[in-house]
Amino acid sequence: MAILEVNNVKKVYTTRFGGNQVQALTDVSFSVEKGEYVAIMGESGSGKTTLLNILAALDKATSGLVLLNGKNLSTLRDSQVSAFRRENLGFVFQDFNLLDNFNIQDNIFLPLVLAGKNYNEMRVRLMPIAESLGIKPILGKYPYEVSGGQKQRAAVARALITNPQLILADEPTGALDSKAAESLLSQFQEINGAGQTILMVTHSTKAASRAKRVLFIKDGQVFHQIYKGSGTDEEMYQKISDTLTVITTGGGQHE
Amino acid sequence: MSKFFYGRLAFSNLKKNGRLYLPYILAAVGIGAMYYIMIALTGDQGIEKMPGTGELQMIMGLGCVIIMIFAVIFLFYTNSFLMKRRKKEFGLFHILGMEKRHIGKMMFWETCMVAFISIVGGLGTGIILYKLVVLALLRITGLEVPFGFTVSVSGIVNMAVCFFAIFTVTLLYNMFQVQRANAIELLHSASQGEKEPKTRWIMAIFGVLTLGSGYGIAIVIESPVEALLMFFLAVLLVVVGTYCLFTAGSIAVLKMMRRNKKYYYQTKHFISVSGMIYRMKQNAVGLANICILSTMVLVMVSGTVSLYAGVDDIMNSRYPRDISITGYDDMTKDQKTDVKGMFQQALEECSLALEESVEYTTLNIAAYKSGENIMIIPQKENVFPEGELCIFEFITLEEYNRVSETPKELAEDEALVSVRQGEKGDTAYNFNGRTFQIKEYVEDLDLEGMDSNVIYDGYFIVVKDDKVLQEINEIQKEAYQDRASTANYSIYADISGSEEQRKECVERLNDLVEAYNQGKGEGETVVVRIDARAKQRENFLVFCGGFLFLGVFLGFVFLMATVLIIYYKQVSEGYEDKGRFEIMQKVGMSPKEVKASIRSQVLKVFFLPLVMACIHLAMAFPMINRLLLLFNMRNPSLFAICTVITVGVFGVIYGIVFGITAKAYYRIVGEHR
Repeated sequence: MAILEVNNVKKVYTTRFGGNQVQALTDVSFSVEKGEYVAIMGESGSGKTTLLNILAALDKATSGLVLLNGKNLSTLRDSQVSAFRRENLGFVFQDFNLLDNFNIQDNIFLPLVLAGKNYNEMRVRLMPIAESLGIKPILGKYPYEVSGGQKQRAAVARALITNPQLILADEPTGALDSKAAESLLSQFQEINGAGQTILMVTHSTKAASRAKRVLFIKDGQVFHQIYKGSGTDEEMYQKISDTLTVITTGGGQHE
Repeated sequence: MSKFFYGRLAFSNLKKNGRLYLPYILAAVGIGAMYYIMIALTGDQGIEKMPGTGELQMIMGLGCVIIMIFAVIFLFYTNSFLMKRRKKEFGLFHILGMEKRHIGKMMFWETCMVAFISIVGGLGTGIILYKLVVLALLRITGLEVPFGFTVSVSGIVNMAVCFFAIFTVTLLYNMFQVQRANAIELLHSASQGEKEPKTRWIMAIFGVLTLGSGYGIAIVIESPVEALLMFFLAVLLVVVGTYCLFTAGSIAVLKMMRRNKKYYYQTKHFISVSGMIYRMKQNAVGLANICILSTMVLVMVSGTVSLYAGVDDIMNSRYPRDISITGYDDMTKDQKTDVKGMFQQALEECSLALEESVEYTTLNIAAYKSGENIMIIPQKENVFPEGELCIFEFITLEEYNRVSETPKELAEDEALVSVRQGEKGDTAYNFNGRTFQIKEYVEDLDLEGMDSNVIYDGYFIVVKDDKVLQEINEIQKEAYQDRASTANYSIYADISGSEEQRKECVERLNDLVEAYNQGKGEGETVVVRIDARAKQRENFLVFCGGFLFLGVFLGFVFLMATVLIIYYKQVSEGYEDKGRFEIMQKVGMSPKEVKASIRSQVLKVFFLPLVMACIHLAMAFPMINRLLLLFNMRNPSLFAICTVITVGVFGVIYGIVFGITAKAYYRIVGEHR
């Protein structure tokens, strides 16, 4: 069953004084099944971030349809959007987006507190997650006291704690050193192994190679996709590299 | 490079940072104008020539000093805020290849422009507003308006030099700051100080203690003289306590809230408590400043307003009748008759009629009272006699019976006592060995002018006759030698006619007394003081009006400072909250929720100082009330009304300022990157 369906999504930005129109997404269609781990790759300016914002209900598509769990995002009223996002989506950002005035535990609790859960329930939910992400010892610390990798794991915990339908990750390894990135990606695979659906936007071939499927976006369109199938991460890495080479060299001929 | 490059760069910098610089310049203009006006008033020839304005100009001189000190502190504070905001910009210039001396040059031009606008604008505004201020001052002091449009050269010079000096010092300070920092530090300095504050229990407890003792002093002190002495101590304690409580106490309380899991992990409290901890750390000192400034405004304005509103009360209690005549130096019976005769003559010459009058002779003695023992001993250095300093006023039975409805009789060693303020219940008094049995405490002794003195405890003692009075007089003369007091002969009278006529009559009487004293030898002259209430009222009105003027004027200066601090707080918080605002939205808070939570936080943080200021004021109330007694103002309900109105007006202004600055805040927070 498809958890996320994106049909013919188009997004046009109009500059403030009218006039110039910029087409960020031309026509994007794809779907994500429950339990999948999908990476979206593309160069800067290819429309990745726009797509992610639309999926996150932070922005609305100019035309087309986005269905999350069968719910049409464009029909959500403004007052429902935040609650919907809180209940169905988990976010992991490149720059962590932890609040400095909360310690790690409170940062992770934030979406639950907003949803009005009580403290004991939050504790019960937190413990297994903190255990598996290895952040138990730093729960009482503040974001500025821990390393980037730890911050990102805290952010992952914050995304997971609401048991979301879908985790949206925007360049999650972008601000991490290679070791921390490696360990975070392993964690993503583990989480996905436990049945969590993940959609990750990334630049990094390394990161994308860990996913089960990779979508390539170019000039606002889904250009290509590859499945890992039963292959290894290394084979996937090779396939992605080849595709990227084709896109850069082959793409040039079209222009 | 063009000669004007730095000047142009400086100008465009100022324009770009208009949101920060405009209020700074406006405030500098405002304070400059006020400073000029004060200086000009102090040296104003027109005012100087008017009678009774010596004190007024002294009060204004005091105002000058206060505004000057304030201008220095205030411009420095704002400047340091601006620098903190702009360091990133300087860092960027530095990285782009500007040397520090180039940045220094740019800052020099910036400061020049700001200083020029501030000084010229301040002087312009000051000169224009000066006439208005003079009119207001003369109006509230009831003086005539004798002059036209004046410009004070000394005021201009003084103001320009002072402000030039202040700006020079701020420039040097800024240059020093930039010189010391390196580019990376400059780039990141705006985002420093994110760490969670520590709980400083000792400081919090110290704050509670100092504030408590300050309040204690304000409430417990009974005597107005002590109140005057202790007032500054109490103020100091409260100021220290306020700073400690805002910095340490607030964080201690918030952290306690956070420790209570049930309370803390609720949507409403979660965001606001953690946000407040964060805010309090950065803003504690600023908020304490706002609190203290607000308290100053409120105390000053409410005190002076009630003093001014109570002028008639005060005059009535000091001068119960239209005219009071007091003869000093143990006048003889004949002299008294002569004085009375002269009074009659003056009345007749002015064709006024005597409506009602009282006359009596009293002997006032200051002595230390310890139970029944009353010691009349001279005060020497380092000698503090037992007991409390009280004022005893002696009058004879004859005079008592004249005003009392129930005539009494007394033996030589008996006395009637009327307690104006002090202890009742003694059975006898012993004045340096001369004892009186207290025959009775009487309540019906109601002489005009008798209660003009409320600073010390006071007792009226009625003795049998002049002989006994003389006895007491000898005792005190022996004790006090050349500092002994003398018996005073007083006439209090209501007379017909207008105020002008009464003043004329007083003039006439003064002339008559002078003529009477002509050609008389030593010991035969009379020393008489003649007061018309109307005349006294005028002088007093100048005095109170001067105070009111200064109170409102300084209140205005402080209010301006409060407004500016609030504004800058809001702006800086806006920049800081912007990021948090965005993150919270991404995590699943709706913009509306974020706005509501930030609003309630901002509201709490900014009205805390006002609430605290009101508490300070309430605690200071009894003390200020006692201080007002020094001016013979004894109308607590009038003072209360004035205070409530002042607080109300201030609250409204505060609210408006808050609303306007909150808008600036939301604009910043709502801006997109």
